Amino acid sequence: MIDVIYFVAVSITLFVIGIAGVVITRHFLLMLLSIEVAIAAAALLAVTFFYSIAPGNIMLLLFTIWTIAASEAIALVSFYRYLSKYEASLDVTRLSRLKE
Amino acid sequence: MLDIIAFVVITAISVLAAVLILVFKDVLHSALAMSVVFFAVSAFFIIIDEPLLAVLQLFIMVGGITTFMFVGVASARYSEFKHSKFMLMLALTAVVLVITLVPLLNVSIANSGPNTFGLANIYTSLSSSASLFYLMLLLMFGVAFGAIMLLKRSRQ
Repeated sequence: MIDVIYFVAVSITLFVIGIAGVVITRHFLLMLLSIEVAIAAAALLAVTFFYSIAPGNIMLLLFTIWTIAASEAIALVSFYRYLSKYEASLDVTRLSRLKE
Repeated sequence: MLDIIAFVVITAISVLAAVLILVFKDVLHSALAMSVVFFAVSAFFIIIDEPLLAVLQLFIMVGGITTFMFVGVASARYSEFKHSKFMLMLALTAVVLVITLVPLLNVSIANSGPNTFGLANIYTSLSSSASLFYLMLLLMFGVAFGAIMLLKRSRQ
């Protein structure tokens, strides 16, 4: 039998890796992929919490999380296509100096 | 014992895939690693005995978001990128993990639902036709990714 605390530990681990990815990389697309991983970890933690600690209807919260993830994916691909079209760099330190 | 092995394997796959997102230098490969993380989270839902949420996770996250990213990324140019701060990421991840996980070691959660998840959960979840969705999605996902890789090779 697997204790519920291990699911919490796994979701925290995935969340920390996602946040670390946002912090260390300068690649625009990889930062957003790391945020997607953090969102997936949040979904896992929410399901574990609701199933074990406070059983109830989780669908509303989970669909909110999925909607945020989907919106971010749409924004990600749109920006990526836009930057690729004008052959701009995907380095966020250079993106912040686009006006120069 | 089998449930613990399944949990450990899925945990290892998910953590490894999450790290590989930042290791791969091709964005398409990073998107594939992200889809593996989504798939592993769906497998965790199966262990927690939530087959409906697992199938929805497959549909929305793996089937929808990842396919959308594949198409969007594959139809644009590919980018090579070198990560200069990979060791910093490892150190940062280790420090934050220790800080967050050590307090969890002796925690007992006051719960009103089940506190443990066993092999019976996996059997009941997979027997409720969720395994069919997994099989179909794996096949379709493999075909889609193979087609994109073939297209990429033919362009090169």
